[in-house]
Amino acid sequence: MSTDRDAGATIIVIEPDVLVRMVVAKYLRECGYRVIEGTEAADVWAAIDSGIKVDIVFAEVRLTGKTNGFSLASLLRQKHPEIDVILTSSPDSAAEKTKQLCDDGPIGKPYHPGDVAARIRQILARRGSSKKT
Amino acid sequence: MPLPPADIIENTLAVLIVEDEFLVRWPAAEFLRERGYTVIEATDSADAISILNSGAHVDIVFSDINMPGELTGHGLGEWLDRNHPNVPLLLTSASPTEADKVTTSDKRRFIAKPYELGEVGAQLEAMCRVR
Repeated sequence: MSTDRDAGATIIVIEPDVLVRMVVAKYLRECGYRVIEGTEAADVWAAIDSGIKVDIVFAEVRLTGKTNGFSLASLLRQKHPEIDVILTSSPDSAAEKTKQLCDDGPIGKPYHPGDVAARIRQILARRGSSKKT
Repeated sequence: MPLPPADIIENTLAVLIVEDEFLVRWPAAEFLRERGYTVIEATDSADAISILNSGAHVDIVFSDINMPGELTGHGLGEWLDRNHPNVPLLLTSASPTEADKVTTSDKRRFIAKPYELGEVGAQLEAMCRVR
């Protein structure tokens, strides 16, 4: 589960359901990632504005507040293209739109935290190989 | 039985932080994790109760008093008294009048906002030592 190569990457987990967030955040920390927990899109901007170098945002589509996960992903693409976004949601109806906003499509709920870690590793590996070329 | 050394206590405590303000909760959670604590983050009393009811291991709760939702930090304290009487609670608030409403004991303390994170850590460790 633990990967030294990826250790240190900063992941923001935006998930309003505390029991879901607690499990995935704990798992990702055990994988060696620095994990910041939030419940709404505003928390992502607050973290970025605080000067944190964020690598990946893992966000639920359905969020409280003014911005849902789709809008958050879209805004991040515009303003911070260096930050990758992984979206997650339960309803299949959201899948197509989610696919447009994160390169590898959504992670459907319920997911195993290992699925999230695998996707993060995939993104970080892709970044690593693109830096080398 | 002699108490374990402070560094052993520091590295084994599971702290549940209950704070709705992201920019207050996040630095506190990061600080405590850097010290070796296991930290669970909740944004209101309902979340905290969900976590405690889930069976997650929690040694101590550090909670804001004024939060959205039905239960304030005081209400969370009453719930703890009924359901987890052995779990201590460190309450915090920026409102000076809230301190007077907290009946302090071995399991109940108050720290005023803005707080020094080192002082929060010291209070949590002290409260867990006397458990």
